[in-house]
Amino acid sequence: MADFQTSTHRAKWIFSPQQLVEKYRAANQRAKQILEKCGATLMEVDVDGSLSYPEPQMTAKDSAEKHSRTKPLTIEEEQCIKVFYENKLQEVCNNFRFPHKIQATALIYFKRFYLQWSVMEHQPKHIMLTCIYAACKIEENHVSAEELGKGISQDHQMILNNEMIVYQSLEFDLIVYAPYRSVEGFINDMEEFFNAGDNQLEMLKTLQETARFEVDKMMLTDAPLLFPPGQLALAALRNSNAFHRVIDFDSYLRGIFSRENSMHTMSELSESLDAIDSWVIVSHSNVCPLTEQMCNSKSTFCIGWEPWVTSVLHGPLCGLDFVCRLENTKVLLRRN
Amino acid sequence: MEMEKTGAGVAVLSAKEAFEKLEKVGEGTYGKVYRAREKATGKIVALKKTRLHEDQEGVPPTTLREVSILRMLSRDPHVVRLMDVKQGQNKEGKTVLYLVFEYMDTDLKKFIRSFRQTGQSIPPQTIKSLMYQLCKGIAFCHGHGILHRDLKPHNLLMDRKTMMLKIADLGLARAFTVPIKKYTHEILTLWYRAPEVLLGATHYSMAVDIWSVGCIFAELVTKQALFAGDSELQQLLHIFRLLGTPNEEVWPGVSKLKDWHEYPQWNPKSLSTAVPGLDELGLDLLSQMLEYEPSKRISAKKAMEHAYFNDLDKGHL
Repeated sequence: MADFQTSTHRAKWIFSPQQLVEKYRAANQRAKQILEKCGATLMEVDVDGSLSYPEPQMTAKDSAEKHSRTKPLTIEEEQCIKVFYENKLQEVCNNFRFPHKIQATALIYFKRFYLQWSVMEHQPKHIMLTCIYAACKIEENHVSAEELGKGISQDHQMILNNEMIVYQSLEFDLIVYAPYRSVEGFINDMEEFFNAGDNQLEMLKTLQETARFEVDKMMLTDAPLLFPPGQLALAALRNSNAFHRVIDFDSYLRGIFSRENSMHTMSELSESLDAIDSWVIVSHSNVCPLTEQMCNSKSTFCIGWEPWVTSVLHGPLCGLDFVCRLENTKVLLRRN
Repeated sequence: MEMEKTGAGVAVLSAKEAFEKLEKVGEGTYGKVYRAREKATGKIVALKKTRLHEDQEGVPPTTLREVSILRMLSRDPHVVRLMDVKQGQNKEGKTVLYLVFEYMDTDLKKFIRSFRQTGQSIPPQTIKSLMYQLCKGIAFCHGHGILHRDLKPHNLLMDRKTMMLKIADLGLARAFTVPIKKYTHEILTLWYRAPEVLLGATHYSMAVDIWSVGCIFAELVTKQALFAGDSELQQLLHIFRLLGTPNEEVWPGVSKLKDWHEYPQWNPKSLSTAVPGLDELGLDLLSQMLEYEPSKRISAKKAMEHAYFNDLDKGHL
């Protein structure tokens, strides 16, 4: 099987919470500085992937005027916008009936892209579509840019223009590992481990279905940037099993440890799975009103970094306490 | 020169600014390959040019696959090293992508041809060394879950001085997963194509690469392609003439493959008739690489442990 252990995914794209905070801060800070200097932040992307920031303001008067109109987003607000577009990404993939793998790959690309950039610099709507397009190519389920654009009434040239900057920002590390495949692998293993009969096979299928929904939830948080896919899959299966009570999960985990020469202990793995659970719970209990408001609005795909966004965002917004959560959550990060 | 970070705020030189093209050395599916000099260091590199927007579809999937796979595999000494990805513009102002590779001065196809033209045999120890390096490189790819799918002498780069061999051109490669998906039928140059692919199998695995390795092994010895068919049917018949027409006994499930028909019945011949000059151990290894049943075909890792390689000095390989 394609090997996570030796992959660029494991080596370069699993972070500690502190590293994530730093990356989000750096991107947000850079965008703020550009806003300060230029009065706007949205970058022009040429078809060859070359970038240009807005021209600096000509006069102090222009600058003052612009600044009175536009306030920068906070990290928490950026997070809200990203979550909104991650939901949209799932929606688009479902509408196109793309396989789960494409949705997962596109989501991971989207998350990685916004580790390098702020949503103030690149339109998340455009990046979301470009990530789906790229995922289709890499997963050998090719769909034309035109078809993708048409499907949601967008100019496909925008997808092609952003393609290179997306690949560059991902450092061309395009082979990614999502938990869905691991869920499938664990289910197959459970069938053998418990020597499942027909009745139990049916129940394991149900377990798998519920676990996939659990993974869907995880994919809308930062968990894929913090934990290896195998652990995310196990956490999803454990939650699913807590609901369906199909197997003795602890005995299965003990079975894994007795078969594998693992450097880690069973209690360490349990701590990791607990950390994933609490991470996902906290993330989902902090969905910001803005996201709900946008999800309920009829005008899909309307938000971009435009001046009116600021006024929406600076309304009565209960922040995600995102940075505090990242810095305070004690996450046991196993890299294997 | 390492693959440079193109994260926010980093100034990136275009290919034109960074390299001086010296000569065209080849032509690929999507563009030309140049020998070039990196201006900053004077280092000689190979630039593989990829035209974008062929069908208004941006970066070709083969290029993407090659780059992403090489990002994982380029640490191995027997896989060609991708050093960077640059972009530039051609004379018509169209965007092009340049993959920057370490430069290798020849490939196995040219190497074999040079011996054929002079009428000399490739020394047995040279064949052994090249085969070991090939098995080692393929074992590395397979160990990382990558099928090459297009192994042929032209895609095996060499350094004439050191006799180092490196696997290149991973445009058709892909990461494989379990269960193995249905894969495209129209891959691989015909001469090196495994019988299960020719017969329309849509589920296949590492064994397709091993078949290709076996064909290359025989070609190193005889300096001629082992099975040189000019159509899928002719290719199958070439194989059947030497190895015998397969049946359910030697290859369970063969008659259920999509493109199976009733074929002329041939009995298997001894491999030594087709590959004279290969010693007994070599013939044994070759026969295991050319097993009909994919699951019985030797793995690259096992091939490296074969007695044929026992007298090879592996220290520097």
